[in-house]
Amino acid sequence: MIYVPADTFVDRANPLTKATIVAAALLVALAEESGPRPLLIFIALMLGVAVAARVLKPLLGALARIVLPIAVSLYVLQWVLALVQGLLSRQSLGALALALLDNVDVLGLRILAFVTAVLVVLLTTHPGRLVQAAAVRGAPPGLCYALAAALQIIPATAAHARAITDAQRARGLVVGRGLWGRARALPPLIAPLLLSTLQSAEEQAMALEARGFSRRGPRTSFFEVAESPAEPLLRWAILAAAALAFAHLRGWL
Amino acid sequence: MAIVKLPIYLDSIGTVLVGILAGPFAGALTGALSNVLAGMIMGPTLIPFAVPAAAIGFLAGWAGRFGAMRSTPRAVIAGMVTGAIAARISAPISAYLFGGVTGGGTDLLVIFFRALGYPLEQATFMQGLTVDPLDKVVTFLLVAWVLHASPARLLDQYPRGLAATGRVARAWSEDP
Repeated sequence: MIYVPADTFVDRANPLTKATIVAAALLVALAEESGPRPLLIFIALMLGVAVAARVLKPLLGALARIVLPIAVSLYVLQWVLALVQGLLSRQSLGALALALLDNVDVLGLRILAFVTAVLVVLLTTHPGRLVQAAAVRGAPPGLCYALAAALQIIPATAAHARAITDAQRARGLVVGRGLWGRARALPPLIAPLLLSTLQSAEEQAMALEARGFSRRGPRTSFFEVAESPAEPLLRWAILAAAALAFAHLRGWL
Repeated sequence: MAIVKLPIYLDSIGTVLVGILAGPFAGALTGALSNVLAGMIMGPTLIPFAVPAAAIGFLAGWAGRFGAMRSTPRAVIAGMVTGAIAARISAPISAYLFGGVTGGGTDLLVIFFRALGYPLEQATFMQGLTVDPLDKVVTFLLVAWVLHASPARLLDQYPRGLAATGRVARAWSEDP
């Protein structure tokens, strides 16, 4: 789980509004194709939010884990290409590499901006709260339940998988060496895990039915998501403004 | 897959299973939701790949209608077709959003195909074509095996699962 519990104003903000603001800012930053400046401003802004939300350290850690391998691949890819093309066309290798690296910089920054934006939202919002907020605002209840239930059963399923492997080992299953040996250990794990998951899905479905989940009409929510009546309007206004700005920057308007 | 440490993803076993048992749309929804969820937990770069994941679930649903789980050759063909189509859908996403790389070991293949002179999107597609069909063949075979090993009591509740595997529903009168 990426979420880091902290009690700051960023944490307490309505998850949907938070996600909307970040998505809108990202859209505008990505629209400008002339250079890296809007992206750099956006990333700096997000780092500022991370400092305010006291999640700068986990943010930098997650960025290193997610973006660094991509950046390495991206640069190696460009360098290999520059080398091959330069050797083939007998061009000045340095000039070619510089031109290619220029392109990587913007692309790399775009990836960095996207990942930073989503991470800031995820670090400051429990995914369950995000799903709840969406459900309270009228998102399809079945969809929201599926997401919320999946979030909750991940640790249980992981523990179950470990228990199954332990049980199979106790019965003499040897996780062998080499590719074939490890591949053979897979079916004894997967069959019981999938079948028990199907079984529990059925039990959950029956429990939901018994509680009238499939009824139509208005529903009440156990969780309250505090927001003023103006906040949903504000979210739509932000999205509309971002879409207009995107269209303008792209020259469509 | 951490326990057995294999160099394939096998991240769509659940998606394929739901597609087979509950149909194309349930499969597509499972694929998309599980990728969004994985993105929330492991890292946002997985979220755009909800699109090919949805396609995998949808195709698995259709493959089930054609009896993809009735025999090993059928499961292999269904896996290869699904893998190839998933690779085709992933390629532009990977190329335009991430410059063709994912930060994983398969990036070496993209670099290899780019060095051979293929354009970025084609190189990404060819990398997908090298890995995805194999991954989906193993996935389809595992799901077929699980379905055939599942108790009749369970499978009887899923008419689509019965159709996909060619198993016949147990008549109630046969019950002891």
